[in-house]
This record gives sequence, C-alpha cells and structure tokens, in this order.
Amino acid sequence: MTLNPTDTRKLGHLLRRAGFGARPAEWTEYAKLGVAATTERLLHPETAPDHMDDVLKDIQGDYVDFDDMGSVKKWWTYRMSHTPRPLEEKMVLFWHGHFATANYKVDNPRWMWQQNQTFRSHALGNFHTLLQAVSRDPAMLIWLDGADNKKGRPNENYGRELLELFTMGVNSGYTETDVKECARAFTGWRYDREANTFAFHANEHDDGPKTFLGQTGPFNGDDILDILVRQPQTAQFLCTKLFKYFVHDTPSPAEIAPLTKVYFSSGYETRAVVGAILSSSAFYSAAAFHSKIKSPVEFTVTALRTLDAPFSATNNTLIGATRAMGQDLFNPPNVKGWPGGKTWMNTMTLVNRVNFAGSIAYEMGRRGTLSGHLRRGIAAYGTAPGGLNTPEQLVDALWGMLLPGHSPTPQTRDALLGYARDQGNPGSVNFDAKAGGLVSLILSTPEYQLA
Amino acid sequence: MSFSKPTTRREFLTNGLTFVGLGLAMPTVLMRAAQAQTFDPLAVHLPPIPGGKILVVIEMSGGNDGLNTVIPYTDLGYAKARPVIGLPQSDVVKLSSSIGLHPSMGAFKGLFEKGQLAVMTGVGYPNPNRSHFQSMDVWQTGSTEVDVRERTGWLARYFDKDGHFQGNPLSGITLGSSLPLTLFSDDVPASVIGSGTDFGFKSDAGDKKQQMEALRALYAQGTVAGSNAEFVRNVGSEAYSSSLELKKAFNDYDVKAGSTAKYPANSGLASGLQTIAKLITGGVGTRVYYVGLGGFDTHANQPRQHANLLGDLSNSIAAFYNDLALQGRANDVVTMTFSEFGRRVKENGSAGTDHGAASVMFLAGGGIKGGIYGDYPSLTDLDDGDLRMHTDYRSVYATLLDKWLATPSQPVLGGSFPHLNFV
Repeated sequence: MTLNPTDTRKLGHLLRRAGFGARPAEWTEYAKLGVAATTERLLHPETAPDHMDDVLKDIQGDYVDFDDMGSVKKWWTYRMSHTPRPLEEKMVLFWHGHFATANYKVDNPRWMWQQNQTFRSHALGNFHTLLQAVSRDPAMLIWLDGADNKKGRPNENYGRELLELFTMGVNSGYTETDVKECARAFTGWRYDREANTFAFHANEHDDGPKTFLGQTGPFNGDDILDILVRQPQTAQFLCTKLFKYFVHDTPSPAEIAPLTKVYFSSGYETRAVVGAILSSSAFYSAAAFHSKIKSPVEFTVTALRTLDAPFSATNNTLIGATRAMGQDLFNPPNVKGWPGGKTWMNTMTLVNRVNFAGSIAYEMGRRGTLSGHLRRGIAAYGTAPGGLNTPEQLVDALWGMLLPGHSPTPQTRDALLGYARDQGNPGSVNFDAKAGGLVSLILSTPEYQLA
Repeated sequence: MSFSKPTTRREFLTNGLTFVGLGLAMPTVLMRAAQAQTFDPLAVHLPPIPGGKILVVIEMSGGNDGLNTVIPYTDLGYAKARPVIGLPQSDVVKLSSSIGLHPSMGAFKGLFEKGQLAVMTGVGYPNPNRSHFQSMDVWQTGSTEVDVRERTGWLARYFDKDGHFQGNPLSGITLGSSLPLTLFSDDVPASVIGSGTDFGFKSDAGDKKQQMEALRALYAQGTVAGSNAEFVRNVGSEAYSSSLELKKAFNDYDVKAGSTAKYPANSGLASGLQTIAKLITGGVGTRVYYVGLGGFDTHANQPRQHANLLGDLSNSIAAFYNDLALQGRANDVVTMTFSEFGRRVKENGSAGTDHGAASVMFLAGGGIKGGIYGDYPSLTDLDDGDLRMHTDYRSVYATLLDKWLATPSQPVLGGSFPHLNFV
C-alpha cells in the first residue's frame, strides 16, 4: 500500500524518531494503520508481542552471558534491531543516557543489565516510580558511591547528581546545603552483593531532621524523591530533555509549557508526556524534519532495520562501531551521559559511519542476500512504480526506501547517478552490480546522518 | 564520581583510556583505500597552517587532587589533614626545601632540574564551582560565565580571533573520539583523529574507485539546506584531506628516536603523546594538540589510583620531551596540564577526597622558565574547606596566548589577565 507523500513523510519521521526506522514488513503494516494509529501502537508497546528473550537465548549460536559486558551489549543491540516495541527500546536508550551509569566503574555487567531491565520496565511508565527504582539500583549505588554514604560521613555524589542531572537540573534554585541534606537522607542505602538487590542499612542511616528545598523533616530518600518529583523545575527539566530527544534541539518555552502541564496532570506518567510530544505540531514542523544528527546507535540500528539486515550481517562489529562513533553502550563518558547533537559529528566519527555503511552493504552482498532484501524493501515502500531499469529509477527507489519522504539535493542525486550510470550504456543500470554500492553511498550521505 | 580501587591493571588502563585514542581496530573485512599515489584525485588542497609555537594540552578529568600532587611537605597541617592518604616526607620527590611532588612522579625531577618544568600552585577562579561539568566548562571555555546555549572553547576562539587560520582542519588536533569543549565552535579548524593511525575512509568493494569518487562528490563544498546537514558536509570534506596529511607524517617518523625516548608501555597517554610527537616532527604544522587522561575523581581509595595516574602522567610527559629533544623540537612545544578542580584539604572517611577548588598545573617544555610559581596556599585559612586560589587560571591562558602562541589574549578571554613568568 502506498501512502500519499505527506503521510509517507510523517510516518517515516515518526518511525525514525519514535524508534529506529522500520523493516519493510513493518512499514507495510504501519502504512495500513496510518500515522495516528501507528502512534498509539508505539505508545503501547505492551500490545506488541515480546518473545525476544526466547530468541535471545541463542544469538548466532552463542548463549548470552550476562556476566560479560560484550555479551550484554550484544543482547541489547540485538533487541533494538529486532524489537516489535521500538518506542520502548528508544526510551530505554533515553533513560540510559539520562541516568547515565558506566560499567568502567560499576564493573558488574549483570548489574548493568539489571539496570537496563529497570529502564525497560518503566520505559513509558511512571517517572516517580522510576526514580524510586533507580535510587535502589545496585549499579547506580556503586556508580555514585551510595554504599559509601553513611551517617556522620555523608558522600555527596548521589545527592548532587540526583538534583543536578536526574531531576531539577543544574542552577535551578537548589543550594549546596540542599545537596548535603539530600545526601544525608540517602545514607544507609546499600546493595546486597549476593542477592543482587537493594538493602537498607538502618544503622547507617541518618534519620535526624533535615531541611530540603525549604521543607523540614526526618527525611529518608523516598521523602526526597516525593519532594523532587513535585518541583516545577523537575517538570521543566525532564520535559525539555524529552522534547530535545524526540523533536529538535532548540525548544521554545511555549513548546515546553503544555508538556509540563501533562507531566503534572497525568501524575508524572512518561507515556502521557511522550504522547503529547509525538502528537504536537512541533513534532511534525519543518524545524523538526531531518534536523537531528542521529546518535551512533540510531545510525547503525536504523540502517540495519531499514535494510532488513539480520544482526549477524554486522559480523559482531556493531558494538565496536558505535563506540568508535562516540557511543559506547553501558559506558557513557560520565554521569552527564552523551551530549549529542553536533558533538556526535567530527572527522573521526563521520569516517567511522561511512566505513560502517560500506561494511554492511559489502557483507550482505558477499552473502548474496542484498539484492533480495533490497527488492523486497523497494516493493514494501512502493518507491519503484515504473520499474528498476534506469539509473534514475534505481537511485530514486533506494533513496525513497532509506529516506522516505525526503528529497535529495540535486548535488547529492547527481553524485549517486554518477556512480549508478554504466559508462558504456548510460540509459540502463545493472541492479545487482550497483544496488549495494548505492546503498553504501546513501548511508554515507550528509542527509542520512540526520534523523 | 569516583572509582573503587581497580583490582587489575587492565581495569586501571580502561579507566585511564576514557579520553585518549581508543585505537579500535576496524573490521578485518575492510581494507584500506589505495594509499596516496603521486596523484590522488580525491585530495582537496588544504591551505597551509601558519607557523609558530606549539601547545599540547593534557586534560586530567575528574578533579586532580593538587595537594597530593604538589606537596607542601614541611607544613604540619598536611599530615594533620590527611592521616591516611597523606604522603610521608621521606617518599616525596623534593623540588625545594618545602615543596615536593608525589612519590610516583620521579620522572619530573629531571625536567625540573633542567629548568623545563613550571609548577603552578594555587590556581583557580573566583567563586569556585564544585560540579564536574560546570567547573570543566569554566576551564574549557575560559570563562566563569557559562552560557548553556552557545558555548565555545577558549582554544577554538584562539583560532578564530587570531585571524590567520583559514580552514585547515589540522590546525588543532584531538586524540580520541570526541572534540573537547576547549576546541569546540561551529567552525573550528580542528580534527579528531582517534589514535591517528587508523584514520581514513576505507572500502572493500570491487568498484571502490568509483565509490570513493562519488563520496568525494557528495561531500564537496556546496550549499545544502539545513544547518546540521551543512555542518556534516563540512566535516566530511575535512576528513578526506586530513587523512592524507596524517599518513605522510606517520610514514616519516624517526622510529629510533621514539624507542630511545622510552615511552611507558601500556599507557594510552604515552601512545597519544608519541603520536603527537610523530605529527610534530612530521611537519603537519598543527599548533594545538589535545589529549586526555581520566580517572582523577578519587572520592574513595585514592592512594593507589592516584599514584598510578600521576606516574603515568609524569613518565609519559618525560618520554615525550626526550623524543622531541632527540629530534630537535623540544624548544618549540609547551605542554600544559589542567583539571576541573582540586580536592578538599581534609580527607574523607573512604580514604579519598571530595571535590575542592584551587589546585596545581604543570607547564613543561624547552621554552619554559622552570620553577615553583606562587606560595603554596595556606592549609588552615581555607575557603569552606578548600585551598584559596592566588592565581586565576586565565592568567595562565593569557600568558600562553600572548607570549607563546603570539596572539592577543584579550579578545579570546574577553578580558585582561596579568601575565606570569613561566614563558
């Protein structure tokens, strides 16, 4: 089924932003549903099946070893590449960047995986509940020294980052004293290494009176979270981050205000805020289309899904590739996460993206599966109504599949045509000889780097 | 953020490699593009970089504990504040009758005795900020006013305000996988080169020449709608041209000098500095190099972690200058170390230290006037538990801009700061 150009553009945009692009069979499915119903489906991942864990018990013949960081990374990227719940995984990635925790200090892959599962359980759930879960998460407790935070000897690490990075945001009105009082409230919050769970050590907890953000009481960590989640600054900070993640990097106050209202009226439900974002006029505005530089994970996983490539086509290089592009999953550079935007793009990371694109196309070509996948993809996206006989038809068909609803510039199209044309016979094209190279080139274009 | 004591050397190295060239191997299915022949149709002519002195910046991330790095070892307050993590007088590498270095920094003694190491004490800025990110922003932007929207680095502004740098992306080089804020602006002529040796577009396809030609056409300078797309396009053009220059410099390196210099093995920082030495002696012309060493946020179990890091730092810098000296370039290069803040005077209950304020900086090189600069701040007259600064970090920057890089500091820093005498 072929959508009209407007809806094609919107659907392509929605699937790129609220997921990682669509495999051809998914595109067909979503095109039948239309943009609005697709949005609803994405916002309710629980309506899509999730037998991923059965499948994931055996990736390329290897069992997943949850005590090995590389294996856990593979587990997650495989999920992202194949999940029928793309918005859920996109939100897990968001929370991973928000509550940025790194294994280079935690040094416990199983706990990093557990944390990832916590993000998944609450991906589109209640933000208050998520805060409570994260504050008890063993990986987080190691990461921000929760275990060293004791009555009489507070360690301010978690108290500070909770305010600065996880809830209210830096410079939003809390003081150094608030940080200290917050740290006191979380004293005694420890982990039990054998049980892999949270453990509260009452004897290390400072239950004395504290004054936090102008309120006084014998606050425990949960009391602090109750106070924080109610703060307008928290609403502003979280909604702004979510807007930037889904829409574009420069929101106006008028675009954030309605979202903070939804945050409060829904009782801190992430699904409600994300839903409001995805149905806003800002989301489909000209400022939003193809305006965000894709993160390395978005770039690689979207390429895989759109090409309908199996995870194995990356020959186990996906993890190293995203790291070389500046995004090492489970190892953000610091607790602030990945700054994103233009910081993704420099001479080194661009070179790595281009080389990755070439390697996928090359591998699929080598296996002899590329032509078949591409023909099916072109059919699903309906981008070759007149056939695939000329260089122009081939370039337009592949471009339309990889960047639905977005036209190439004349310069870009000319460069691709220059490659596709057979010097001896410029009016015709050999699909099998040229399609793979074209895919590699399209994935390397400046346009494709943007979502 | 802090680190528990690393239990293996591999863990330590992983921690230390946060910033420096990751040197990741690309998949073996990829082959390099044809090496530069006498004529390469893909090469874009890069304008020459103006000649002059070279600055190497080493970012020590996490907040280096200056008090255990440069130690006022005769001050009774020192041992009193640090009963567990304080360094014994007998172990300190003595530079004067009252000031010494951490015991693991023996490699710096030679540089100091040659008069090629300036030790700055009490460096900071007014109203110190103890947040990693805010304070690092202050150091990297060269401004105590932080603008969240449009932030540029002080060295990026150096390139811009100097007026002689015309779009050669190798004017500034970062080792590693991301451009630091120090070198960030929309138009900065700086590159990120990973470890250097693995840099460049590659293709394994049968018709790779045609693919490369198409790639070049896609990235050739031209107008394209949208600011982010234009940004990406510019990055691509630069990538092409840069890779050719780098390859040439690596091929020309004096390997014998390199091995005589005795760079520490298994050190990301040492590899990075050696790569820089190759580029300097290879005549690429780059004026600013940037490399990082992470792991300094020692909230707990500081002694071993800190000792390892300071040993790595001093051994690597000493080897770097051995290498440069053998190739006659040591007088042309100043290396500056900095960190986002120091740490509190009093140790905490976890054999570590929490975020502090004023700290130390090192400046090394043949052109440096070595010595200890400034009286060590008082250990008793503190600013809320932290050392008081007596030297604004922007004085260090201004001195380097005006006297080493030979460009007016005022437009770069947005103000005038008194010069220091280290160069």
